Amino acid sequence: MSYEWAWSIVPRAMPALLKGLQLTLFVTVVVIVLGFVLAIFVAAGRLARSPLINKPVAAYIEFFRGTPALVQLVWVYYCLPIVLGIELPSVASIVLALTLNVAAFYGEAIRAGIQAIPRDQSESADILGLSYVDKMRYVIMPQGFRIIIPVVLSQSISLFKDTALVSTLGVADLMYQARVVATETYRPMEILTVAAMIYFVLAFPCTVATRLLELRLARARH
Amino acid sequence: MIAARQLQKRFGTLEVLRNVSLDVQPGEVVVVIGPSGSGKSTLLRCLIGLEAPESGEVHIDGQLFIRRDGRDRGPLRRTAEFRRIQRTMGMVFQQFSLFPHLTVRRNIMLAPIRTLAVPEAEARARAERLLAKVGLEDKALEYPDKLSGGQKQRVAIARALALEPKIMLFDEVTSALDPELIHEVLSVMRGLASDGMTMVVVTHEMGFAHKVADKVVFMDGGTVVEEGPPTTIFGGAREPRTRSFIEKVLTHI
Repeated sequence: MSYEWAWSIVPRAMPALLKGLQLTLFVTVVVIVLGFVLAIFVAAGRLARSPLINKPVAAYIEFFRGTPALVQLVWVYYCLPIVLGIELPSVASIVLALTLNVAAFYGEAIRAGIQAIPRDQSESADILGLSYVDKMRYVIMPQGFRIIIPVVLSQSISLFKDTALVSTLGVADLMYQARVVATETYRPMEILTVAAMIYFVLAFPCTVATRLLELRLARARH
Repeated sequence: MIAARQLQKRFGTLEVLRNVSLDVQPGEVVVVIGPSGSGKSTLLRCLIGLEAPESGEVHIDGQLFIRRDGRDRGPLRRTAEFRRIQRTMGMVFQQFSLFPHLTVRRNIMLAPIRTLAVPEAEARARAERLLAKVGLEDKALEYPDKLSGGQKQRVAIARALALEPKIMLFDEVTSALDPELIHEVLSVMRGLASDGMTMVVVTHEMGFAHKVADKVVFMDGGTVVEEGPPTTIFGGAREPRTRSFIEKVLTHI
């Protein structure tokens, strides 16, 4: 028994898929930006001396790293409105859930990057009289970013793919559109294959670029 | 210029400094010698506030810099006053500790610009002047990893001098250098000493101690065993421990 592919269906499906892709890319970019900003505070909180700050932040990180992203999405989507009594638009609620998720991962990457800088760099900045902010800005972060950037990039690529989870909540991303079109046309094999290729065509060059950047940063110190 | 009183410091159960006191007069060059693990580096790090003693006091230029009575825990609090006194001292480390992502000139300019709010052009002129002083005016635009160990260490000295410190601390600055590069760093230090800089130098270079020091301090087991002018310490030390250390390092040559 052999399956008869009907690729002719694809052109008809493309407009819907590309519309879904738009939302996928929008969510990805917004979550990367918000997640990175939040992650800076997460890393700072994780490195804070006071246990009143670093313990809760560590708990937050471990919670979001230790539970499935799908569970987090569903929880924020269905449970948060009941707990807080506020109704969020569905895109806002998935952006919130994914942002909290990636900020935990980015935050750990930033913390690790900062801690990888030898202690004498920090001590030299201290005895040269630099303030904490100047020390971070001019001495620690420029060196830490060489370590942090590749990690954050590869996690961002994972995020791009993981956004497919939001289709289960009825948010019309690429995956959701693919399922809708597949059902309408009775051609799930073709449509899902095309959807997979769209994800791959976008993710793979980013993966290659990240690897090249990583090699370059590892080889040259400046 | 420096008055350290009864400094006590332990790492876990190891007592690194036991009631160490040290006086340094303005313009004086004090060289601290002693076997590894005797507490020399920890003493320097306490003087500049990188290490918090459990108890004791440090006065810098007549001002109280550190006072601890054994109940305080954790690192020193970097108050504005603390930072103001701290930056009257410069320090150079064994491992250079230059900022690898900045050019030599930027390494030197960073602190004047950010700490003292010196205008960019003036900071650049100051950096060029200091590089000329350490004989590296042609290296301004290089990155640290293009320099030899001796050159890196001279840049580190120039960087420390950029804040115009009244005191310079040197922590085994020639220990990581190839033998043929040691003299270029020592000659810069000798130049500073003859300019009248107050200096505390931890070193294994006995020749430098002998020729440049006004006072030699011998430490062992976290205490100051003996101190005196170099002729006394090297020629006729009182304490048997001092004599046996001097004998060992000198017969080694």
